[in-house]
Amino acid sequence: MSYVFMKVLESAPRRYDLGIRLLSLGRISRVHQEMAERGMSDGGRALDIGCGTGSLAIACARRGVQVTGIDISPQMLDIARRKVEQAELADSITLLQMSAIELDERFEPQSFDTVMSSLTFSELSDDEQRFVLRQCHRLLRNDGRLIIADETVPPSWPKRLLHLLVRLPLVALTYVLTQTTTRAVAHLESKIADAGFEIEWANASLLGDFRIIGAIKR
Amino acid sequence: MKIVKLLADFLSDVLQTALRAFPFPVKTGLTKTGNPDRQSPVLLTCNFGLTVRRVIRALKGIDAYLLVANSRGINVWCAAAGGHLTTDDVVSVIKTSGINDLVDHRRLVLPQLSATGVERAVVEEKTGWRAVFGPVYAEDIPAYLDNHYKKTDGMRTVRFDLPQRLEMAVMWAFPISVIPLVPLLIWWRHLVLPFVAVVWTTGLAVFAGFFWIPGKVVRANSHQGGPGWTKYFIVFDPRAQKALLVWALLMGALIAYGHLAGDWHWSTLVGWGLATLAVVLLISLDLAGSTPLHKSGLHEDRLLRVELDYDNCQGRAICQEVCPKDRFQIDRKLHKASIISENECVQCGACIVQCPEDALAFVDPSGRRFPPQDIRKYKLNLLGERARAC
Repeated sequence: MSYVFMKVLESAPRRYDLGIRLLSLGRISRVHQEMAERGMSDGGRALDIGCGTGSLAIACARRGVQVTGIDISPQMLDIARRKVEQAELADSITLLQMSAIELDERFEPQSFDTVMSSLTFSELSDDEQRFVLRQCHRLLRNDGRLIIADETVPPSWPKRLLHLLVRLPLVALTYVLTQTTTRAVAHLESKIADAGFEIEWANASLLGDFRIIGAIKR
Repeated sequence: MKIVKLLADFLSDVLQTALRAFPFPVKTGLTKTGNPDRQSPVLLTCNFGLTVRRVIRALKGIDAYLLVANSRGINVWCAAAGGHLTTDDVVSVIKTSGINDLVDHRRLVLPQLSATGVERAVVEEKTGWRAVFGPVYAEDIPAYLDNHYKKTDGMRTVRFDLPQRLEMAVMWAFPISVIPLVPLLIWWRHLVLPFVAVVWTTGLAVFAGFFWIPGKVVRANSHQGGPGWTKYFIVFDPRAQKALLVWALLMGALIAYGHLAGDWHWSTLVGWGLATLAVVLLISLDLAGSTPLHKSGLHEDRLLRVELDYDNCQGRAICQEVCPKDRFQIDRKLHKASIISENECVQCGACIVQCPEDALAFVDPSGRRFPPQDIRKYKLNLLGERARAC
């Protein structure tokens, strides 16, 4: 399944959570759980880049982590704020409306134990991805962990073709509804490594079109 | 290799002109023309393929840096008005492209039509660059740079010359002639050529002769009588109803004649019926609203007017610099702006977004005021409405 429909959901933040759950066939909660379990320790500080409606931030806060969630969309953050209040986690989650490109101005170096990002890099350009990864490196303490989950370009030609065939009609429909689209991230692992991280592990979907990557700052 | 690139560019130009209502994203980031040095000008554009190639062509012989910002593959004006080319996108390309290390100056030329979506003051505050709005058209960039970054009057206004009108005709005629091709090829193969010819002739005739066609023929009505959604269906448009009535009468006559003459097959009649119906629908579309000259006729029920708060105005003339219709006059002695005539306004909102004193706002016919903060925050959706938060 492709996450390109995410664009439709973003245009209607109220339906985003339900929609993304349907789109991912329930997988997104498991992805968030996995991200929260990996490398999160009690009392740690985590940054969630592109937190959207806050699902991942809430999953982490439930494990006793102090989460700072940033997102560019004030509408998505409105929903996140409501969800955080309902979960009674307002003390452990800080939500900020800002672009990932402003990360260099807002936080001190080494202010986080974990930096994570789910379905955000596919909305950034190549240059932006590299910039944000350099910022992740700056913001993490030594041995801190970076965890990224996103749509990725499949590694081999047959898979890429299959992925394209599945994705193209979805892209067309999403475009008709929202006049915009997402782009699967290419070479995510090597971009992460270029920013100075050591890749610890990576879980790819069967088709290779979705993966979760864990990296560590040495 | 050079020939291959020229050919690829040419084919992309043709395809993207034919389908220019759709986005064609190209790589964002930094591009160079010629051999720029540390003093060379820095310009910014969107990442719609056709636009990027045109800007690069216009910069031929000039050493410059070109920043391609992420507008989601949409042209500058539409992207800026629709919230796809934003202040953040401009800030982002400045910070992530590495341009800061390549030049000694900090002067960025933005496309003037981006003014409806890109807040110059915020770009300056967040990046330390001084942003200026350059000419509307890429072809004016060399003259603008020669003129020490000063625009002449002609560089500020949107034109609708013959080449642009023909482009618009292609934009309408190509998809409309291609979509029915499938059923036509299956059932009425002999009608393909006449149908395509009729659609293209109509499209080209309407736009080539745009200025000689009475406005009410090409401008849609908002048909305030019906429920809101009816305005998006042209059969509810009284103007289209007249055209459809004429079409029905002519079809009746054609059927009668075919019946009397005796040898017309029903498929011929249906085929001609559909082909001519397509033409009627084509000319009944909101053609005027698709041009840079007119507001869309679909929204006459909430036509907005730009209101100037005379007391707050300091006459800094930024409205005049960004207005694509040249609707502002500045009294240099009194330091006050005035609006020449509202009839020509296309409601892009650029003046409101950029005014440093917040002295401009939209007002709707019922007197409701849309403050600058709202115009900066909420952009237009495909239906020409400003989307609001939940």
